[in-house]
Amino acid sequence: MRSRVEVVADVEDDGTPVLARLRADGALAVRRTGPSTVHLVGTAAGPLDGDVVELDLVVRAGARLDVEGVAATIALPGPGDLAATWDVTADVADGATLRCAPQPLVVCAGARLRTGTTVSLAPTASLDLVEQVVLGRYREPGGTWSGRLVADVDGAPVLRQTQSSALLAAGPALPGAAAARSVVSRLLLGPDVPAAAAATSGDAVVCPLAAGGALLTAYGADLATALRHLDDVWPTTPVAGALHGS
Amino acid sequence: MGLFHGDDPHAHTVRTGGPLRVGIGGPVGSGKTALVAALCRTLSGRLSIAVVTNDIYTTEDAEFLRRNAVLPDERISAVQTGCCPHTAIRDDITANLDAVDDLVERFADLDVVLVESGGDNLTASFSKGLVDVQVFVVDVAGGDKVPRKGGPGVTGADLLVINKRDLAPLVGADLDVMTSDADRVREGRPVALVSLREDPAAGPVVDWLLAELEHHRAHTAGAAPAAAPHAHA
Amino acid sequence: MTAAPAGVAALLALADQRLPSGGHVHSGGVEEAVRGHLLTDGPTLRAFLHRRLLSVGRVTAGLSAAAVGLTAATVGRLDAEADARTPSPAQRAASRAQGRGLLRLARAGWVGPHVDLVWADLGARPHHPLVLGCAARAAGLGAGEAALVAAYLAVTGPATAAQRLLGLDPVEVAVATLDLGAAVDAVAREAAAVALAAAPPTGWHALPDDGDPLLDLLAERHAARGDRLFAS
Repeated sequence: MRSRVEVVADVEDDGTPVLARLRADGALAVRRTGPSTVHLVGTAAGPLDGDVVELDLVVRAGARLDVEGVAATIALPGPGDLAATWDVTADVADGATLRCAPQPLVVCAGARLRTGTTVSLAPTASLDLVEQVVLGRYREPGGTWSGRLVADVDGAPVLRQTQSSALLAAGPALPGAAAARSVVSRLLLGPDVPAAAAATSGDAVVCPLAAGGALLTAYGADLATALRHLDDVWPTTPVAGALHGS
Repeated sequence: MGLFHGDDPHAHTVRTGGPLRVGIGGPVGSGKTALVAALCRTLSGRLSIAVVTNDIYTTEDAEFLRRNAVLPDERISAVQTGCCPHTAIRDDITANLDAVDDLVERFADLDVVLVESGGDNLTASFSKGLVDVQVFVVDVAGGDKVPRKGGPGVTGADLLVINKRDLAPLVGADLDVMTSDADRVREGRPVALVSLREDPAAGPVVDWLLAELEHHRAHTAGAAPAAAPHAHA
Repeated sequence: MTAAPAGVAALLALADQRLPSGGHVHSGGVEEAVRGHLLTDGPTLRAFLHRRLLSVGRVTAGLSAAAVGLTAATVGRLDAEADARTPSPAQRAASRAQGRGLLRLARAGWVGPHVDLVWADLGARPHHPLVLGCAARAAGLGAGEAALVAAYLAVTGPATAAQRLLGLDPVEVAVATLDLGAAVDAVAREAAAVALAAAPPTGWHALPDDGDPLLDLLAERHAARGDRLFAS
């Protein structure tokens, strides 16, 4: 199945937020739940192996968009040889803000999923992007996952990172690695992100990026642990608040 | 080889001017850090000095020097040696060269950079790529056989310092045996018998160092203007 | 046995851990992994090295291969691509420290990488893979060889550090490295293929970018310590 979501957020001259485009098809629906907030709603199981999901987000100059989810996305095994793909493309213009914090992505045993997030920011654009991946449901081994995160500001590379279940599984003898069933990443970019020093807390790390902004990563045996570590290492704007619609 | 493109391929082999680089090596506990502190105390009013320490755990010697306020913090640089102090001063001197280069960049007027090795055994010695001259420090309490046993540090150093001479009667060491053995294995290169406790100014070592500095300046005068001795801020 | 192809001696020299470019003071996360009891013996060392190969090894292999074709006009972009693939500031500092060390050696060894690039174009503290690719080019080697050296060093540097820190049987450590040989070859081959297919500079976004949050975490925990034997 092929699913596609398109959201264009804009702002009128008087400051009123508008969604110039809001459409979805396939296994996803999208609902406007606030002036500049949308929720993603899964209307079918999956994605299953071979499914293609595309989310295309545009935030025009000075506008704001908050993308959230109503429930975890469960990637399941399916027929065929292809992995499911889940690609998010975001374009954030000057003075605009995108906050994208959907619910966790659970990669079930036997499922194959490749996720990709590509964000292009104008020089004064802001981004708060949270990705939560859980490998396997409760007491279940995880499926096969790889996720790429690509960020450019003003056309220059800011972050290029692929994580994968293969890598996490490559060190089964490493105690910390074996326990890392849940990985949470948060990318903060833009002029309002406070300059931070690198720091660690539990199994979470703040990495100030060379080009500005910060990448936060936490892992843990379960999602709650990973999220707690993540908020401990970046207490200024906890992700728990971002996730539950502040 | 690559194509000639304007870079001088031999630029690295000739040290043009710059401070005198002095290596200070020797076994653990012989008094290397005490000697560095003494040299800084005695000379920092007259010369612009900086120190690079190579410690086992990074910063202990540097912290000692900072605590004793023999030099401003920014003139002391600690390098990590990857668990292998003699490699860092002899076989792969990159981390030390980087530290020296950074200090020279920061203090254009440097006269002397002291590079202190981590405490190592008698086989350790400095690469000529890192230092111009080297001092090896042993102590009387280590036994009067040390000079006779030799090793690259004892035999090859430009100055051998035998420290803690005041302890000789207490540990039953014969200073005459030590100096005559040292003279024999060192083929006439200088030996200084000192007690940094009794002579905190390290007189003989200071005299030797000033002579070496004069020699260094005479040799590099053509390459770069040698600064006159002066006090640093 | 057939004769070794031209340039193999230079390849061996660049991959030699005794090459005086400062690598021996970097453990690549091993010191912190040992402190945290993640790395305790031969089997955990193997797991660590494999994991490092699949992340740092891939990234540095791709960047080194791309750097073989570097020109003065594209240095800045590849440097930014390296930064973007190295979120941990401690790892960026370690890469630049080793780049500076290798650059000192490369300047002494070769007049310049090639006609379109002089050493000074790389700046004072370039990322290590950039210098490695340029040195490989200067030595007459290609992208494949540059990637191979990078992937190999991503394994052997930490292996040596682990041996020093844990006092492991050196034969066991050497065998762990040898056993990863096929994986090193594969990583290098794939990374070089991507680099050769990527049109610089914008095509470089496709270079390998495998990240490992565990290594980022170890690197930053390590950097925060005052009592370190290794610089990274």
